[in-house]
Amino acid sequence: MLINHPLLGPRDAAEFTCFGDASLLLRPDPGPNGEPDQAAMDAFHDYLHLRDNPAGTHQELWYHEQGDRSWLVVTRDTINHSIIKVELARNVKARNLKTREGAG
Amino acid sequence: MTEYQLRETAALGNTLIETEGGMLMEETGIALAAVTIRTGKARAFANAFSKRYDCPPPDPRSAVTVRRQTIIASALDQVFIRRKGEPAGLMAQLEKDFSQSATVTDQSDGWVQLALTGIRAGDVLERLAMIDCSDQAFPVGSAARTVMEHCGVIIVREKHKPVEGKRYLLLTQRSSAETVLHAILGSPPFRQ
Amino acid sequence: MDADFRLKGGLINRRKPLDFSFNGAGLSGYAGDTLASALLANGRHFVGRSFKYHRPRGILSAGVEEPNALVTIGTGAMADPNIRATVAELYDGMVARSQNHLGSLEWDLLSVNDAFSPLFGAGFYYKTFMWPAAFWEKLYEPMIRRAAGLGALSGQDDPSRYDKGYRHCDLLVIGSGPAGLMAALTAGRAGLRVILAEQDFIMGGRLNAERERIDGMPGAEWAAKACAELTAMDNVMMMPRTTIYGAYDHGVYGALERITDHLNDGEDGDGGDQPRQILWRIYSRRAVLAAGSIERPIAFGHNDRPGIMLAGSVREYANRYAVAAGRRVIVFTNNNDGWRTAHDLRSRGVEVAALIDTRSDIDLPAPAGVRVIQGSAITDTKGRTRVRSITLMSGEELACDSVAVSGGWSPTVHLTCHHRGRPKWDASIAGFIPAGEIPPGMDVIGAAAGKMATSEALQGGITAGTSAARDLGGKTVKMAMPDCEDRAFGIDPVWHIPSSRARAWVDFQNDVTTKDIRQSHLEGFRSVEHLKRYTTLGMATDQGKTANIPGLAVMAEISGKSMDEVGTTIFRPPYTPVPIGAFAGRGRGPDFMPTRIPPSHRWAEERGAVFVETGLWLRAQWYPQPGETHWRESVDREVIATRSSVGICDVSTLGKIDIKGADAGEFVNRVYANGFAKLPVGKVRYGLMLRDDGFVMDDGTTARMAENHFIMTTTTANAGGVYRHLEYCRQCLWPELDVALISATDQSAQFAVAGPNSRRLLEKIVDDGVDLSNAAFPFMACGAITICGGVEARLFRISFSGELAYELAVPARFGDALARVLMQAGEEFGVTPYGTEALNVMRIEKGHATANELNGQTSAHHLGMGRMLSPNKDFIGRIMAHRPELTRGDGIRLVGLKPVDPAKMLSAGAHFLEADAPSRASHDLGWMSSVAYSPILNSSIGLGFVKNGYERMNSTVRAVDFMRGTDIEVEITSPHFIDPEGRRLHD
Repeated sequence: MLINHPLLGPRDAAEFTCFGDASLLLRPDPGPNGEPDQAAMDAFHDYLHLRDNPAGTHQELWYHEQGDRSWLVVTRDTINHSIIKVELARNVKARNLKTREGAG
Repeated sequence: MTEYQLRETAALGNTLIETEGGMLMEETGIALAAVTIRTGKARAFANAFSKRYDCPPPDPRSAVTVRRQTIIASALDQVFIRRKGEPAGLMAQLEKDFSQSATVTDQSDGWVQLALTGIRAGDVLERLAMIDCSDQAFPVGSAARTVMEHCGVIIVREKHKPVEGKRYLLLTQRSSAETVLHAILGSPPFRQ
Repeated sequence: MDADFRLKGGLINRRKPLDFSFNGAGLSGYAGDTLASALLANGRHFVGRSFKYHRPRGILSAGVEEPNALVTIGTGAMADPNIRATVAELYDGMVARSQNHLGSLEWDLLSVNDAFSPLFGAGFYYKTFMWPAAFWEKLYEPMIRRAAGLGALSGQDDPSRYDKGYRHCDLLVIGSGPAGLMAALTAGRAGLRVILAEQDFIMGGRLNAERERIDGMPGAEWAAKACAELTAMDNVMMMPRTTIYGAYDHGVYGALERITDHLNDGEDGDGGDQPRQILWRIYSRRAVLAAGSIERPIAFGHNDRPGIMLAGSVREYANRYAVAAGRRVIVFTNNNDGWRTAHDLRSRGVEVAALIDTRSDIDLPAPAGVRVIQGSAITDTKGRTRVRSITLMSGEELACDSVAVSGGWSPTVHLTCHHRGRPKWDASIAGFIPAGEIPPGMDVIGAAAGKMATSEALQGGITAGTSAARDLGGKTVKMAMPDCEDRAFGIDPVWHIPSSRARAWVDFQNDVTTKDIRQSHLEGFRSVEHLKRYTTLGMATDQGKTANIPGLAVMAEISGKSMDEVGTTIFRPPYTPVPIGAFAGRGRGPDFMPTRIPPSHRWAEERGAVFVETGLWLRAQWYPQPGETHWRESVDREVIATRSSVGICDVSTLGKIDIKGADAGEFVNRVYANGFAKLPVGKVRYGLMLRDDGFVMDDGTTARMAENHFIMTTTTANAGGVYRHLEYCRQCLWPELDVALISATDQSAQFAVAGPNSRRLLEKIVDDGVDLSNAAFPFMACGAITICGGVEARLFRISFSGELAYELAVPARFGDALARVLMQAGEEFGVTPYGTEALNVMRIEKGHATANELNGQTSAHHLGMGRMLSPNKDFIGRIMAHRPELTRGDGIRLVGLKPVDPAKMLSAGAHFLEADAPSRASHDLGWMSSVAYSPILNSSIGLGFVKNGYERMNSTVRAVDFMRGTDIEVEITSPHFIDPEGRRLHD
């Protein structure tokens, strides 16, 4: 598989590690310091443990471990592996990410 | 006053291996610094860079050699700068040049610097590197950070004198340099 | 003198005769022969025994599709089983043996299986070997293992060297027949970077097997001319002996290049300096599949005897290898192509006793002197180790010594299916052609696309090459269409002869007959996927290249379905077998993974250290002294020496991350559970790092060297993971922070100097002006200093051992020298180098947690560090760390353990149970995470997690280790066995 790095061009996927759903970027608001309330715990539980598993377009996080150490958001079709878009994670605004179905 | 002194040890013992069509040499005595552009300071950095080197910073896939220094695009918002001599001197110069726009870290000892030269130098990379190191895709001035035999490596295509043959600079981390050396010597032209 | 069945001409090199042996018999052939062609030249057809029934088998084909002629080539460690003789390039001194017989090939004791054939029908193993149950392990399985399989491995290590490589091109052309050559020429002349891959050892594909002419010259000559032009082009790479075995994502193809298989490597693989094979990853922007087609047989009674071959292969042996398949050949066909074999054999002077066509009213020119029988079929054959006659539908028997069978040609679509492409049926050629999701960027041309005429192949090549050139920025070239001779294609889809009473084979290699397919259907296994698995049709090493289509067709007939309705199974890589050694490449033995060595490694080797692998690192485990015979002697000594005077240990392997920037403090504060924002410059602090799910990820000490400069350490094992985590936080969570990270693990050599005399030792090597007094450099201080006459260093007063201790870091180039200087300067104190074992003993004596305790399943509260979760800031892991299960008061707690009987040894991994509790998981109280023998306390000690550990202080539980069979009473104590108040740290 090749990842078309936005700055470096196509690179073999062997240079990267995949970390799954890019919803990991949407870290919930943790609320006030100290012991958290139930709402925060529920939000973090969802954020950390619940995932859609689409057959089709999927936004995921890839880390260019053996390259420039950049984190990327890759939009990939899980059925035929075609890669539709690759962006630097830091450029992806939170609101541009597809939120999980039913997530707040 | 302490009577003890510390002598330097080269990671690969200043190795130099020659074969038909290729030569591999460990380069020592070359300071290496990582210069990381501070958040929001890209323009300030570019200005400071031009002031020092009379040219813009290298693009993500390239390296420039100017004023006896080689500047390599190594990571997001980061360049490596190479200069013959003691690390302290280079760090001092860079800290002065880029005090506002970047942070400077000495990496002279973390990396081993290898010069791979010869008409068949490219044969090594064809066996070990997944990126396209051909003349078309990787002309002089190209740089890439990638992996060889599970070891991270920075590859720079440099000008070679005499004109025949190619010259590559390989930077790899010190602790696994012997593994990388072994991999290079197990490839053509060093081994068929 | 030529062997008996040699003809004139061919593409072999008669100036290079070669000697070889088969089953001990010395034979000869020529350069350009395969083992199969050389055997046939010597009249040897009977070369193996079939898988199940051990029936005598001969060579069926001339290519990779060969199901029968599997041999073992080579001797000693180089003996390689299951080689298809039809693609084994002959070399001088080749030693080949037949396989799969008990006793000799001629008198195989297992041929008795054939008599029991009714018992070995489809799926017999699902119905047998079940009773009695005990017999499975003792009798049935060993029996089956002996009988199963074809060849046998040498049992020795594979001495061959394999390599890997990476090539890039604009256009990958797969196959060098007329279609592929035209595509390569077109694209090559247009200036594209082309790779032309051909699995055979000469280029030209089918042109080498046929007598047709292109541009007025023999096809083989035209191919050679095209290859000469391609070879001269700098932008074209020719790769013969290279199989493209897989089509992967995004234009990446897997290729296996055979470098030395055609050379004599002797018994030890010492044939030369080259690797045996290279596994290439080819990155292409576009690809052209010109893989041709593969002929299939017809199933009739006893169609598996030696001498019964594919018709196209018979003429390939005649035309390319100058070998006659027999003296009296019968041709049996359902299509026009079989007629070419009759013509070619006659023109070379081989007698063709009859040409039998299942069709009637065929108006093709018949070869002179050949009896043509239309509208008929073969129903049976006779002959044990060689066919000697056939029987027609009419009952007439005809004598022969070879039968050339043509059931039609199947396009070689395999690579088009590697992305789940589903071929579709083309009735005009009675074959499947590529369809569905074929790999993006791939064009299929020529016979592989079902275009069977030579002109279609040539035109397809021009079209594909031109389109690639246009799309990829090549020059425009005008390609002239070569002159060629086309033949009309006509076929009657006859797959089997129903009037055959005897068994009729479909899959020769797995011994599957039409009867098996009928039985499969009868028992309800009717889908193509079930048919395959139930009968094993298509599951052998040839993956059904000659069997799949006929098998499907028979099933379709029985089910009353169309071929499209039946479909095919999915072809997956590899197209032909790839040795596991080729996938391994250089990754064997010590080369499997990189080795990382710390700066003092050479010095440690000189001192005779024993090393241990810690992840990728080699670390000194202990440094035996002369006279020491057991590791405990060395380790005990190192611990005592360090605690009583001074020891040094290379700790360079711990991860070091350099953190700089205006927001460096804020960044560090957010990734650690405990506070760091207010850490003063010149101080170090222990940091606890959590994952966002609340579990402890790592720990380390982080030093503030300057207002905006921190150096973080991590455990050795987690260095990469923590760095990745920090980059994730920096780039993904908080890109607005002004912070830069860089790994500095290899930049410095770092030594722990520990023990009551550690300060005195260091005072001898630091430069004037460096004040190491307790007041100037207290516990947890850090700073930049110089040593040994101006060498820049960093000193950290931290202690893993619990003694007065420091860690000294210098640029790695001085690491070797520093180890030696510390030993010299410390000689007066009896300085002792210590390794990871002593390091571990001492940290357990102090109760310090490491990876054993920070195993990803424990929380801050479990570790007794609940109070380190800062209430004053947000940090990674804060929310989930407060989950009730992780914080509950009666949860597991890290405690110390001592055996009640001081003579007993604790074992790590033991689980804790109450004295009277049954030994079951439901009564589990926790586990022992680390153990060591303390030479200070003269006792085995341990750290572990016990439920309600603090309430249970000083009580006893049992430590049960089922693996080692021990059950010991242990006392729960404080984990700080030595100097619990930490007085030594502050000396």
